[in-house]
This record gives sequence, C-alpha cells and structure tokens, in this order.
Amino acid sequence: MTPEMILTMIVLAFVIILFVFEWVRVDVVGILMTVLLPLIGLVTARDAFVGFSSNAVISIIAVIIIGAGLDKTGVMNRVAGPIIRLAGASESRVIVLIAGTVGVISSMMQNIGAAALFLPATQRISKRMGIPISRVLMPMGFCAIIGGTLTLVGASPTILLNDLMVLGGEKLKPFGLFTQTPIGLCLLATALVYFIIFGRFVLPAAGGDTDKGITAALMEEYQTVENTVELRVPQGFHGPASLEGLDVQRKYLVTVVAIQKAAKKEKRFVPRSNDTLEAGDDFVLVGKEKNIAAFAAEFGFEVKKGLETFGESLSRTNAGMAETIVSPRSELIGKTMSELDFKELYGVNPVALVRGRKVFYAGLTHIPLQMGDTLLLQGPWERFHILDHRPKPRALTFTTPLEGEILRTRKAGLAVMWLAVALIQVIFIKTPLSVALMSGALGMIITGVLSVDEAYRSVDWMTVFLLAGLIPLGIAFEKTGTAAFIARGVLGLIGSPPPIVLLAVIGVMTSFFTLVISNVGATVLLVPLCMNMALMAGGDPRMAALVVGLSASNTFVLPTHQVNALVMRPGGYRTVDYMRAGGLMTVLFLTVELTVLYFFYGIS
Amino acid sequence: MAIITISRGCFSHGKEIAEKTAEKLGYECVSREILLEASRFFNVPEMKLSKSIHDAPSLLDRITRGKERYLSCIEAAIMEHMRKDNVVYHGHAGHLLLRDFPQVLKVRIIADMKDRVAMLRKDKGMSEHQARAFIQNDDAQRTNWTRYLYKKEVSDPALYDMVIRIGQVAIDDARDIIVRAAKSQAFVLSADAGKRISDLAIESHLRVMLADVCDADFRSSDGHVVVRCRPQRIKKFDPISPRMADQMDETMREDLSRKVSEIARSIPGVKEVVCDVDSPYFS
Repeated sequence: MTPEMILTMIVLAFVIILFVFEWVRVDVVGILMTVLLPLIGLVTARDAFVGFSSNAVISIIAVIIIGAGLDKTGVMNRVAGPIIRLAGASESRVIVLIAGTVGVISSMMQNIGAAALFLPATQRISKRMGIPISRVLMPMGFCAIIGGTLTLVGASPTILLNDLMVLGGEKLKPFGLFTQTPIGLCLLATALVYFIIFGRFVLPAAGGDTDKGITAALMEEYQTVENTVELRVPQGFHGPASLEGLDVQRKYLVTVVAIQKAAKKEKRFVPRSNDTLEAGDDFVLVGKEKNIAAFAAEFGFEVKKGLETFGESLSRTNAGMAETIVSPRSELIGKTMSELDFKELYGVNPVALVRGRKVFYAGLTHIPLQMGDTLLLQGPWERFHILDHRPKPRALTFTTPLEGEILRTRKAGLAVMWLAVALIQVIFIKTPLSVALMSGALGMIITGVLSVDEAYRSVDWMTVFLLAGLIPLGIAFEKTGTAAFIARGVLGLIGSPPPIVLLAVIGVMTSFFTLVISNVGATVLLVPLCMNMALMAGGDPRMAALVVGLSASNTFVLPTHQVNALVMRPGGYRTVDYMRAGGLMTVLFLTVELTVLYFFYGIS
Repeated sequence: MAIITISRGCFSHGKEIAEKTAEKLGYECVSREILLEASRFFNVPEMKLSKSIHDAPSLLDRITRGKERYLSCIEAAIMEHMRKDNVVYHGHAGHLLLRDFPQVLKVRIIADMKDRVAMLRKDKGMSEHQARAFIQNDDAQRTNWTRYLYKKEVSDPALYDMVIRIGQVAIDDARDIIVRAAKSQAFVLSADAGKRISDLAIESHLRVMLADVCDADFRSSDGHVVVRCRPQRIKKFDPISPRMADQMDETMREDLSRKVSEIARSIPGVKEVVCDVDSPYFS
C-alpha cells in the first residue's frame, strides 16, 4: 500500500463521516474536496476543478435550462391537461396515466417538477372520484423517482457515470442517452403493476391534506364567495338575456367570472355586464352555494357537479383570486371601476370590495374607490403577474402571494423543437451529450423561449457544486490505485463470484449506501471500486458502473427524499408507509434491474 | 377541591388507601384505567403502554427513546384527569408530573417488606423467596425508571408532602390523615394553578400528537397554543431549480402549518392556535 493510498483512504473515511453525520451540507463536502485534494497532493490543481468542465456538469446545467424552457412555455401543462382528462375514469387509469406520465416527464426534467405539476390535479381527481389520495400520490412519487432511470440525464448518479468510467488511466466507452432506457421502462412498468395489484394492501387509505392554495384560503375568508360553480343555460331558455338584465350580482351577491358562448365556443374570462347568456352557453359563478342554487332555480339554469368546460382553464394552476389594496396616489382613487373600464384595463373580475368593516359584493363597479380599499379580484394568474410587474407606484398593491407565472405559450413550439434538436443530435449524429443538450439550451435562449438571466436563475447550483466537487474524489480514488486495492481485498475475501451475483451484491450495496449517504456520494465512491471488482472477477466494468448509477435511485423507503417529502402530507402518509410500500419497491427494483441486465445486456 | 397523588410500591396497600380516600372525599379515583383511555385515545396497544410504565427502559430504549412515546401517551391521559380537579391518582409518577405544583397533595405510602411479602404470598400463593424476589425486582424497575425519566430517586422524601408507613399506621388512619390534609387551605388549587395544569394537559397531548408529524416546540397559555415547528429536512437527490425549491418550501410549510393547527385544535381546552413553521432545509 502506497502513502497516496493511505491518504486517499483517510480522505474517503472523512468524506463518509461527513456524509453520514451531515455536519456540513453535501455540496460543501464537494467544494471541500476541490480544495483538500490538491492541497494534500492527491490530485493536481487542474484535476481538482476538472469537474466543473465535465460532461456531467454541463449536461445537468443544459437539462435544467431545457426543463425551465419547457416549463416557461407551458408545454408540460399542455401535456398534463389531456392526461388528466383521460385519467378521470378509474383508480387504475389514474395511477397508470398520471404516475406513468410523471415517470416519463421526469426522465428529462427535474423529478420534483414533474410530481409538483400533477399534484393539484391529482388531488382534484381523487376527490371527485372518491379515491383515497394516498393510493395515487405515492405511486406518482415513486414513478417520478424511477423516471430518472429512463435516460442517462434523468438522475444525478447516471449523469456522472461517463465521467467516472476510467480504468487504469483509460476512459471506457461512454453510455448513450438511452442505453439504460429498457431497464428504466421495465422498472416503471413494474412500479405501475405493483401499485395496481398491491396498492390497496401496501398503501393506507388516508385522506391526506388537500393543498388548498391562496384562492381557497381567500374563499374561506370571504364567506360569501365560498364556491365556484359551473352552470349551463338550458335549450328552452328565453334569451338572450344580459348579465345586467338578470341582475345577478345585486339580487344574489354572486359574480359571473367566465362564459363560453355555445355558438362560437369562445371562452371569456372577464365577462361584462352587457354580455348575454343564450341557450347552450356555459358560465361560471363565484358566490355562496345557496345563492347560486336560488339564482339557478329562478332562471332554470342547470347546475353542474364540478367545473367541466372550465375545469382546466379555471384550475388552481391557471386562475385564482388575489387580494389587493388601492395604493396611495393610485390613479384609481376617486373613480369608479365602471368609469375606469376596470375589467378591460386590468383583465380581472372584481368580486368583493372591503372598506372598513363593510364588505360589498354587489354594485362594486359604481363605488368611487378610496385609498386603502381592499379589492378581492378573480382572474387568470398571468394577468395578476402582469399587474404585479407594472412599474411602481402601482395602482393596486397585492396582499396575497400570486400562484402560477407568466407563460410564453407562443414559444411552446420552439421549446419542443429545441428539445427535439438536442435529442436528434444525440440519437442520430452521436454528438456528445453535453454539446447536444447545451445546443438545445442555447437555442431556447436565442429564440427567446427564456432569457439568459432566466436560464442562469433556473440552475441548481447545489447540484452543480456537488457533482463538480466530488468528481476529483472519484479520480483520486481510481488514480492512486486505492479502488483496485480495496477491490482486490474484497474479492480475496469473497472469492470470484459469477458476474450476475457480483452485480446483485453491487446493487444491494449501492441501494444501502444511497440511503445512508447522498446518491452522488455513493456513486462517486462505488463506481471506481465496483468497476475494479467487476474487472478482476471477469465481468464487464461498464455494467458494474451502470448498476451503481441505477441503484442509486433505489431510495423509496426514505420519507425525507425530496419527492417523498413533497407528497407525504398531501397523501397523509406516515414514515411507516414508506417503509412498507417502499421496502417492497426496493426489492422489486433490484430484482427487475438485475433480471433485465441478465437477459438483455449480455450478463451471465 | 384538591388533587391528590399517591405514590406506592406494589403490595403496600396504596391502591386501597387511594380508593378509600377518594370514596370519603367523593373524588374520582384514577389509576390503571388511564392505560385503557390512553390506548383508545392515541390508538396505541395497551400492552405496550403497560410495559412502558412497568419495565425500566433497556439500553436500546434509551438509545431509540422508544418508550418515551408511550409514556407521553400515559402522561397525557393522566393530565386529562388532573385538569378536572377533585381527583385521587395512584400509580405512575403523578407526583413527578405535578412536582411544580405545591397545591397538589403528594403522598408516598410505604410498608415493611415482611408485610408486603406476606400480602403477595397470600394473594398469589408464592413461596417467600419468590415473593421477595418479585417485590425487589418491581421496586428496582420503578427506581430505575424514575431515575431515567425524571432524574429523581423514588425514595427521596423531599418529593412528597407526606410519607406514611403502613403497619404502625392503620389503613383507615392513613386515609383520615390524607383526607384532613386535602381539606386544608394549603392544598386548595388556585385558579392560576388550575389553568397551568390545564395547559400542561394540552402540552402533553401535543407532545404525543405531534411526535409523528414534526419536531416542534410548543407552549400553551390559558388554552392559547403557540407551536413552532423546526425546519424539516429534505434529502436532495436530484436537481431542483430555485423556483421549484421556493414552491416546495411554501407548499411544505403551508401543509405542515395546516396539519399542526388541525391537530392542536382537536385537543380539548385549546382556544386558539398560532403555528410558525421554519423553512425546510436541503441536506
């Protein structure tokens, strides 16, 4: 054993201690390595920072920017809409379609983003269908985690593999973007089948907490606007009748917030008092349930069970309510909303006005506004964001946070095109992954899908420094011969098992290490070691690296995993639920992974 | 209007004295039934509760703090009775739970080992050797248990307002002594002490009910509960954009705040809940 090996082992032990006890955050451990390793002479100064220019780091930055571009243009919302509509028929369909889609999306996007995208809609569907939310959210979360195994860039450990696959100073043949896809697809299918068949036995039937959001909180606060109800004008209706003519706001204290004309199939989200209702029209009211029922009964309108025509456009992610205050020196002071043509100017519906202890639900547009008046407004989030971004001093000051964001929906086609350009380069031209993905990201920036500042702001620097900082540790582990030394020692103890048995041991070991330390840490430590072990046992070192990379996603039992933490309370889960459902999933994950490797990747 | 706690070893006539005292004063007499109540209220097996108060904690219990959850359930059930006032409690550490309340009459009943052994032999038909070993083991368990949980010696007379040795003092005399003391002005519970006991009951419920939910500091003051949830740990596995991290932060804090408030409001006596949740952190 050389002095370098002893020093490397001391550093490794130190890193493991830091990972386990978390005295400093994992990314700080990475930064520490970039300083410590060259200082003690285990790597050169150049090698210490080589991680920052590695394929892994560039690829992950590019993937994050591409994901942000898709997000910014609402591409994912467009995907989510039809899936959610298709899903709402049975429990199995909800699980397959929603969890399956989340899995596929997270193969190219951050897994937490994919899960968060479907979370509110899933809660809505399960409530409407009477399915316990706990039966759907954990499958969705697990599929988001498994989705990371579908492509090389889906999860941090697999992104690292190509940079870590060095043996005896020589780089091994890199993995392609889709080398692992068959394994990932089988894992995803296994998870779906597992939850469809065994879901009711391993998942609790908990109700969970419904993520209400700002709008629901405001509706609870303003009790007269407790409900949003969709109605249809029946065929026999003697119309057309204007909203003013129906006197809907004054008589029933309810506000019409959206209309779809039957003739044009055109939706209006800021209806005016002279807008008319005719047979076949659909419209949405905000108000007290009994007032809406009385209004519907008087005119014979059909009350729908939930939002149907407007289900997506008025969903929590697209529209909601915000509370605003008339600012000092506001141009609104002293004028009525009617005089100002408020709805046209602001593009939102005034629902209530609070002045002192009085709350007005009708005739709001005819009251001269005063400084400090509180206006409850309803409308698309995008409009609220535009109002909030107006130069100061603003006429209205928002007192509640805004959900959603301004989407560049017109750029959606471009975003998809640049993703396709990146993928085509990878698949057909065999361009290196980092170059192909960065070209897609650059294309998005140049064509205005997102600005360069937005791209910079979307990057997750914690992950960047973690990956970049730990790569030199992997290099030192291999270069000093420490990995080969430990591998020889381990094989001396256990003999030379057949390759598939060795891979099974590697899979179990990685799954365990990932639970105890970070997944990137486990990968950096185990890839050099396991490749050496595989080589010495006569196996394929690349496959050993692949098993480490994939098994580092085998983290279902951890309630603190970022995706599990996100769905834990909405799903009403307890730690023991993750132990039970995740424990079985962990075993299945390893079994399926090794089975596919055995039959389709030439392992014997 | 008093609360009396009676601490005793097994086969020391403590139970009998407690029941007679309660009967004479017209108070509620509470002991092992609190296990059943705690078991029902918190949905925990009664056997586990029973073991947690009887057996001294093992080394594993001390590391995992496994028993503390069950003991918290029992404490909450005891405190629920205490807040009602006019109660004689005998058994599990009531005097230790209420050690900061001088108006609570804390009594220790002791008896000679010879009498205790004789009583056990008569009751269970054991040999003298077996009976002595049984009592010694039981006493040792209780001593260890009190030492571990409350850092107190069960035999320390300073923990009690009176220690009565049964033998020379007859059971009925002991009862009369306690009844007379309970009626004295010194042991009438003041309104403030009543409120504080009620707050302690709320806090002990919170300790149990929040144990599975989050790590939190809480305080109740006349039913106004303030809960501060410590930051939740999220283990980072894959990239999260800053916008998503902010959204997650907000969602998780909102969810937790709602859950904690809901739990706190379900506890009897809670008038208002203020919940403050720290931002989760990534590790």
